[in-house]
Amino acid sequence: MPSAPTISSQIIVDTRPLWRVALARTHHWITMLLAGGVFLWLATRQPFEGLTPEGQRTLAVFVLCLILWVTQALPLSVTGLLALLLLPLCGIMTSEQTFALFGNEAIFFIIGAFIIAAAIMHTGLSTRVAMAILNRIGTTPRRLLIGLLLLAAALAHVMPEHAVAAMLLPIVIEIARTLRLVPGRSRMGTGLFLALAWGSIIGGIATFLGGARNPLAIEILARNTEGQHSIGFLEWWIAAFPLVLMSLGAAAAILLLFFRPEIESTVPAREALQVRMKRMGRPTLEERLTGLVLLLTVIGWVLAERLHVSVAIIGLIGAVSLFALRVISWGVVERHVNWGIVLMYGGAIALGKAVSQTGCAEWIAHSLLGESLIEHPIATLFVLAATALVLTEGMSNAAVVALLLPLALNLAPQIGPDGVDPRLMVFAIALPAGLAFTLPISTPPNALAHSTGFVTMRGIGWKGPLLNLICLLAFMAVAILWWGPVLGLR
Amino acid sequence: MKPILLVITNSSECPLAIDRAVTLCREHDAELLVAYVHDPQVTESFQRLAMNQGFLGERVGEMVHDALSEDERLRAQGALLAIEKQVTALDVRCRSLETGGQLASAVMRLAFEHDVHHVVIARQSRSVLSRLVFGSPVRDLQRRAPFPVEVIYES
Repeated sequence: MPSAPTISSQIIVDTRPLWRVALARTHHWITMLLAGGVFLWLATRQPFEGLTPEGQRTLAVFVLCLILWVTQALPLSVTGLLALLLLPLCGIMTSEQTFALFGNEAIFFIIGAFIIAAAIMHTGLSTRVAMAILNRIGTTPRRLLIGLLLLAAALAHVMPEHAVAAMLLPIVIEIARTLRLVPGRSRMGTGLFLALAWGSIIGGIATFLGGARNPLAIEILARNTEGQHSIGFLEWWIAAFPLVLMSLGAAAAILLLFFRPEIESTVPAREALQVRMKRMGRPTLEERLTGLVLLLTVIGWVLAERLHVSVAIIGLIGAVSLFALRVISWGVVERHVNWGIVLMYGGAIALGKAVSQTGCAEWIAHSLLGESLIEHPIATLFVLAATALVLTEGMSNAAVVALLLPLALNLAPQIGPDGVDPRLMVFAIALPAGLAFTLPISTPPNALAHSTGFVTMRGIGWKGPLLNLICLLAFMAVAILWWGPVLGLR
Repeated sequence: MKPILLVITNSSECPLAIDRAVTLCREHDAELLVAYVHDPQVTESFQRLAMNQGFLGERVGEMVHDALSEDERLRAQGALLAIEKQVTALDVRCRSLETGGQLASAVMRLAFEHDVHHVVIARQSRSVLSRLVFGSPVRDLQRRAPFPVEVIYES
């Protein structure tokens, strides 16, 4: 055997095909050049028929953001920042107008909600609740599977879905290990991590807290209708809950049918959970205080409309209370939250407003959908929801809302003979935009599930798209049978 | 006689590869080195994706990373212990090793460090698309290694 002292631990052998390596090393520059080229071409050419010069330049910024949000050639938040700086630079809005849009209710709601979520995770309250519930309901493999799905969905009602998935992941990893489930071989293992991801995703559409895209959608609605329309915390939940229930039912059926547990007992997992619970000891004062603040804040959000107080203010009161009660410090919050979210959402709201006020949104919507389709409200709703559902598998769900919702809101008065309630458009985009079940790039819970090795594309196969399809049909059923007749959205 | 190196990863179990390695050890009266190679590349890329898209802070990332690393460490120890027991029961000398890094680099490093005679590695079934996009570390190892690399198809 030849001696080869030249092989060092520092040498990294890239095992990918040469074309893939070349693409990986150059794709950033190719994308940036492509995006820049398209932007310059659109911004400098004669306006398309039906577009004003401002509308044309807004279209250029819109397409640039679309490319960058899809390819993620720049971080999501930096693309938001880019939108904020290009709008004044291109003469679409003044810098005062643009930056004023940044200081909106949704941003402050998200700040409050993320601080509360950081406290829930930091104190261990969420972990304790999750372990207690799983220990109680997970008495059989099937119950454990479905219990995890429902638990993740329930937690995503009060915490961001991404945080729920990240918080539950260590617990589920331990459960899988103690049950001796083998990645790539165990149906139960795949099912558990899919239950974790799908539960978080489905629960995330139920309230403003589950996905920050939901308050983002409300803000875009308010900005685009000059404050005439809004959706309250409770109103959102009432509208979304039937879809949540139907989606959970479909997810449970798919899990039980295609990922039927191959094990007989969950005793080792429950024993491991009990050991961890014992190690945690009794609930600390910080946990109790966090639970109390969360409870009062949720009650405040539910009653916000009656109290005539903004949900953002209630969220911030909850966040400030946690600091006042010394439950968390700013250092803790900084380590739990990536504030890039504020930049992305600020940019998205400003872009949405610009697209709407320059007539660009109307032009894009008409160009894409055509006049004949817009005459049929149900068909238009279906196409919008399906588009959001497809796009969200390939890009950030907040970006889908930021790009599609302004277009849909501009269509609302023209759909059918009398137009439709713009709030319907919010649900038609924001709810399907949260329902990405297949690709790891679509949403963080999916990426986390894939990171364990239990969930693979081959393992998911057509079950993810099947769940997407069922959810789309459920969405249409809820739109026709619930939002119209029961909630009065027409 | 120089040892035989059996390489295992977290992708799946490899009973056929173990059988083959034991047979080689008996044929050459060699010691069996069982190496668990932890390649964090894929896991970490998914993790980064989740953290960036979810705007989750570094503490959350650490929590997820620690949980995955701990799981992999315990699984590796369990797998190595089980193979060591199985092989020792067959009267074959056995030692286990754990290492991290990209598969091809890590195996070549170990092979040179321990002056191995022969490498046995399991290959799991993967889609054509997956091999096209992510490449095949096993094929790469075969291509580069100046020593015999025997690939056992487990599925």
